[in-house]
Amino acid sequence: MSGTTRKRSFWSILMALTLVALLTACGGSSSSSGGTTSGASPSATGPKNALVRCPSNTNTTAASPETGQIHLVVAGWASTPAEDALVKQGLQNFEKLHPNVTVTWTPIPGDYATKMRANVASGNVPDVFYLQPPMAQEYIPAGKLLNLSPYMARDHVSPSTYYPSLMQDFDCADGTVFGIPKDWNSLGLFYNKTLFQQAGLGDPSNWTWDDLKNAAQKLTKRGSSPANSVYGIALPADASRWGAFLFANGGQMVSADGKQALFNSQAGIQAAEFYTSFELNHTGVMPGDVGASWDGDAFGKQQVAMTLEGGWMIPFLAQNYPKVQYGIAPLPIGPSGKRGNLLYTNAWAAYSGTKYPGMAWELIKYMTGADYQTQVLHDGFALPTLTSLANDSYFQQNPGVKVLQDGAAYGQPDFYGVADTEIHNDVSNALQSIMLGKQSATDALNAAAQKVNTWIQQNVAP
Amino acid sequence: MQLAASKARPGGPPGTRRGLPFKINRRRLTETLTAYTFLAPYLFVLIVFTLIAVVTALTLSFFYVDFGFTTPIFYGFRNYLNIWYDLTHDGDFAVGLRNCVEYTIGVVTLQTILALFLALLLNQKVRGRGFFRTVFYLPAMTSSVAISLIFYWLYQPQGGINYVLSLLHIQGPAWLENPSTALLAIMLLNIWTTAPTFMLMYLAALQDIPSTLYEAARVDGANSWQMLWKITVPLLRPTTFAVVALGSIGAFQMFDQAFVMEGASGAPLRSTLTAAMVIYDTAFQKSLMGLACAQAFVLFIIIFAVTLLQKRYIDVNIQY
Repeated sequence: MSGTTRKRSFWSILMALTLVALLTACGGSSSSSGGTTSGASPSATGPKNALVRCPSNTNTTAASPETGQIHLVVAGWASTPAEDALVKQGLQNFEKLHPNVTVTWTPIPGDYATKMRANVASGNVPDVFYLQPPMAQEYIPAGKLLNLSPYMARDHVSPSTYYPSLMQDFDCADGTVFGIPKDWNSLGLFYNKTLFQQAGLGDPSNWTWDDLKNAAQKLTKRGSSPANSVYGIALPADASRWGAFLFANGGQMVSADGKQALFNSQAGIQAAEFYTSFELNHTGVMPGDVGASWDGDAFGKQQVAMTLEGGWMIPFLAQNYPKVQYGIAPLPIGPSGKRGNLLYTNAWAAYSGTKYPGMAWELIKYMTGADYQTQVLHDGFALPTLTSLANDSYFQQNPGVKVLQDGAAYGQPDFYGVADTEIHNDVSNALQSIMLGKQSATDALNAAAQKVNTWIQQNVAP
Repeated sequence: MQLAASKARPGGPPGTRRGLPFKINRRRLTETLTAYTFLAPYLFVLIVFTLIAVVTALTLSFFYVDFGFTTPIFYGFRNYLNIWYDLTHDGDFAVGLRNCVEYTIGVVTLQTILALFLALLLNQKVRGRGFFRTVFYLPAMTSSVAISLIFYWLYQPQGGINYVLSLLHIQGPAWLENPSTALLAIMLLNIWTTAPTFMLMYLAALQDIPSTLYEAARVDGANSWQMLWKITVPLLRPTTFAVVALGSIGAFQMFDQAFVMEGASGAPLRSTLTAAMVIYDTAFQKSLMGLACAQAFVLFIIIFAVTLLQKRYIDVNIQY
């Protein structure tokens, strides 16, 4: 919906026309979206996201940046002091560019989505804030977010300059944009070079599933107890890791509208059997088995030779286990000849009720622009969402980070629509049940799918 | 009250002198008003935070509510029917309630026995009694989240508890990773933290038992074991009821320990999922406020029924 106005005198007419266009687009018409009155400006719509309904009422024009003294409240979280410093630095730079603006950064510790929900319920919402995919599917249809498409069209920020797989979660059904991905991460195969050398294993960059299986066998050296053993790979009972194997095997988590579980397909069962086989034949462990709090910890303690993690591992290992010699390889190729990966991202978004929509957009534009995105990358904090940075010199110096960046090409978001929480819980429980030998992969996944489908039938609003 | 009433009389309007019923009504009115004035702060809190909250929750349980995003939709009994389906199909709420029952039976039994034992011990005239009372009571004064974090470390596969076990040549389990030990681990933690509070209640009750009863029993030739079972335990029944009822209510609502140590999903394999965690998950993670309110009411009815049963079978009225 790009309701860009070229002449302010025609504002009301354009408004009416865009409203008509909006109503027809949301009324199920299959005509191309975004086509509005002004032919000159490009339609700024991103990938269409069938999981999220478009709001019935939203801004269709872009406000110009407000003048006078402006105070913007910005909310998010700070997973590490480094992230906090990075965001503060970015916001300070923004203040320098706009001397009439003061920005208050209010990171929310703990359960971010829950606290934001309370803010929305009480109408006390920050002007600009981090948006998680599960939040997006509630905030967008309810009209709580500023429609960014008109702004992107006016300022010639094309949605296609961002990775479509990252944009998707923050768009609605017709591709209208409500959030711009702020940074992201994907999974890589972290491998311990020292242990690989000892086992006579080479570069795992072009491995298949079978190679992974054989390598895990070679790398495992079992002692008298798990504590003094070395295992091939650490894989947690977690849907947010297994999904990569499901996709590599050509499977899907849910149907396109998010209302039907599909992970118990033949591809899913095969992927679950493969994923859990490491634990069952003792060439892999869950992190707790070796006294580690998570995979990264087990990998740092060199009790496992491989694990599947994302870019957050890099600062973690540098800080806690600087002596570990490791490499990062793409995830192994599945039987279907494809790789799979999971993408984790959050966006910057603005509240639809903000007093300063124009300036809120300026802030989002800055934080998702090339300047700040370069800083995000060079800080080693996360990956930049702009495709134009894919050839940044940083990647030549850090080939492992490049491997993670390449994940955007073959990965899918780790987000599955209305039943997202339920799917993550039930699939993780199913995996654990298989790993503990309590259920076969078929039984466990069928039971989980049944549970997810019932949940959707009962709880998705009519 | 007296003062207020007598002051009101001379200053009252002429109508008060006409007949007796009027006069009494006025005095009663003044007294009632005074009483409510003093009660007002408490009533305000009760009405706002309990009464209104309860009525709102009951109302919401008949709606589909997502907490601030869309207007509520009237659902009739659908939320309750969904809970029924959950209960009959091994859903999360069913598992949560089953864990709660298991947990409550384990915790209440052991903590009541432990509390009584500690109270009997501290009721003896031993040296350093004050010191031991303080030490025994310490766990109850510490925040449950802090204690949970300490126990989280103790329960790790290579943590404190397994270290002690390894000295005895026992290979301890991965307490919190194993579905068959995780709930037990949380039970032990909770018994340790709540028993001291109930110990204090027993201690107070023990000191209420007249010593003449024991003297008479001794004259009749009873030994201490007989005195314990025939005098102490029966006379402690009202306290035992309080201890068991309060313990059960607390145990049924268990949330923080499991949430801190095992996360919101009740890992491993839902073995530490409690009813309160399911309600939290439904309300705040899945934003189904109506369903969560209905679940809360079902939990309330269960706790209420259990407490009534305990009152019926444990409580007696004792007058010295």
